[in-house]
Amino acid sequence: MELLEKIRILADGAKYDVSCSSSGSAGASRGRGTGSTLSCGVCHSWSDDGRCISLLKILYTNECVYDCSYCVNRRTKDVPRASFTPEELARLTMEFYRRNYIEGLFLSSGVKVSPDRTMEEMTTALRLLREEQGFHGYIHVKAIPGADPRLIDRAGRYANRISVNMELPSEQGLKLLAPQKKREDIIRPMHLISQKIREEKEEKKKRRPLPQPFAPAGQSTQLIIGATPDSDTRILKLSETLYSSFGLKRVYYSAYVPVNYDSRLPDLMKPPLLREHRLYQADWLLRFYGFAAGEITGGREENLDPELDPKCAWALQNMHLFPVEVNKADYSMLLRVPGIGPLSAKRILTARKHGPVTYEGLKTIGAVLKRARYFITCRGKYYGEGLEDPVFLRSLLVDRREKGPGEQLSLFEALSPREENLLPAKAGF
Amino acid sequence: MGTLIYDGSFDGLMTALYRVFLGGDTAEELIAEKDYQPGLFSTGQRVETHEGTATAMVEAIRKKISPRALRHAFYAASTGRKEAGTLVYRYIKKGFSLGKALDSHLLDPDVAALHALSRRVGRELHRLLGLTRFRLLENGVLYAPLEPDSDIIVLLAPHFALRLPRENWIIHDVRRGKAALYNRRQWVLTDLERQGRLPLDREEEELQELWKNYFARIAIEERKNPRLQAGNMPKKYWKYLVEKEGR
Repeated sequence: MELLEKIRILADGAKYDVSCSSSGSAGASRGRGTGSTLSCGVCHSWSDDGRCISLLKILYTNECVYDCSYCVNRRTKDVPRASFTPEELARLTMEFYRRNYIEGLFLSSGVKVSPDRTMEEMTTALRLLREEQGFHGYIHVKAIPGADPRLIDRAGRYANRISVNMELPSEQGLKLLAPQKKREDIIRPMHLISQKIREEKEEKKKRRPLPQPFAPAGQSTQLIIGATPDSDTRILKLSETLYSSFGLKRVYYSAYVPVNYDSRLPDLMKPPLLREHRLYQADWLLRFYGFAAGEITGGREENLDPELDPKCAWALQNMHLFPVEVNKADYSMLLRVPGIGPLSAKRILTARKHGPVTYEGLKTIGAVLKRARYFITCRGKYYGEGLEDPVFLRSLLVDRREKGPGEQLSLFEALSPREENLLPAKAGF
Repeated sequence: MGTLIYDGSFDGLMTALYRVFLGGDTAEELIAEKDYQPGLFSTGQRVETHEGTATAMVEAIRKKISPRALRHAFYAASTGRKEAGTLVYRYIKKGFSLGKALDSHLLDPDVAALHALSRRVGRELHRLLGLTRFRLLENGVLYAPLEPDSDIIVLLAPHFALRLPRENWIIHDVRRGKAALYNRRQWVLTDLERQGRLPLDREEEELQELWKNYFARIAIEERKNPRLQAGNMPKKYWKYLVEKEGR
């Protein structure tokens, strides 16, 4: 088969994986090879769906022994099948990289023959890239559940980041949609990886940096949203646990795209993009804003409010904490104000050293006053309105512009029929 | 109100600053030659660029204020905007009185204005780290044409020298007519006029085809969103993007 045809097939099979991040590592070949990594990561392009392309995200093979009902590559699906050879993949990555199309490789795969066999071939491709081609760019590799821990270890030493996709947020979902897989098989490698990363961190404290560290940019995973009845509350609790107990760097959320007809799957017309967006916003609150999952969901077993940014929703439930005086509040409280993020909170603290921060000053600092004004005072003065009336305030804060194409929010569809369809500006890809 | 006119280069701007701060000239306005329009009541005074003087000024900023302030000033000057020279002047003037703490005065109008310009350059630089596209030429050189808003190929070059140390490459600012050339050891800045069609390596078209196909395939049809795409990747950069050329 021609390389072109392989790329078409194997990119097709990889595109539902959300992660594309190339962040968390910094280094260079220092003249002996090709490539470097930046801790902030670099996006190289944006595809027609607006998602960032940073890594060459591709499958090693789309052949698969499993028959998971949500997956494009399920065994029983009638699609053309292809596999790379390690040489082809190494060459393709190098040629794309030197033209600056990509920041590195994100290698995933269907399970051909067996998990061990698949992991082994993927690792061979990575070895070629690192050792023979002298590649020092970013590599993210998927650990194949069920593969021998020694194989996963080897792959992780060639990679910057390693991940296992959890896909379904609950045991019941897995039983229903992927009966051949056991939750154990997915949790075990995740656990193994997180232990290994932790051990090496300890090791590094004692000694000099290791020559071939295991996944220095950490571990991530992905959850499919909307293929099972799991609520946002449940999903966020799970993410919280993954961050705290497994030390994951990222949990990605992937709106379920109906790729197969299967009576066990929900009959969705469109992927639940707005729900995915709200989950990303909530995930940000977990990671950077000091929120606990229970605070964001208010302890209720349901989905996030589709009409409100989760931070606004939280603030509306906690009006007794506001307004906050921007010249007195500490960092953690500033972070709780809708419209103030980590960057503007830090800048407020910096600016405060030299004098009071005015309302105008907040604009310079970059706070989003459209939201923040209702929750703050500047030198004692309140610039919003509606604080005493949460219902009115809610109507001011409802997010009229953030909705995915095809998402029916019938109420304000009727109120503002000409409202533009805008997808989340930052979905965190 | 005095005006100093410099040649538009960073060294020129630094020479002019030196004249104001250490050479006893007075001026309220520093303007690049290309933007200067003689006024009715004021005449500008031309400053001849002097490398040694410029270096002395750079060192003074680094030591008396901070390396970060020097970077902000350099970034702001790279925009080539009409007001950039004067804004750098006001910023540095404030810096000599506030010292190291200069950049923490976020609400000072002179500092805020300069930071805004510098941020603009930082943003474009980060974007172009990703959006630069090399084409492999027949002679084995990787060639990347660009038309950035700001004059930033000198900021891009070190990144690619680190990333592609075993290649020969050219990053060409087509609009400004200059280029960074790298020969596997070091890079230099040189004038380079607009090029005609350059002879490509025989595999180049095939590789571009592979990339275009990958690019088309990786998008999820059900999530198509051209506005989001153009918001993240402004159309002004599409001209030289292999995957978007001619669209």
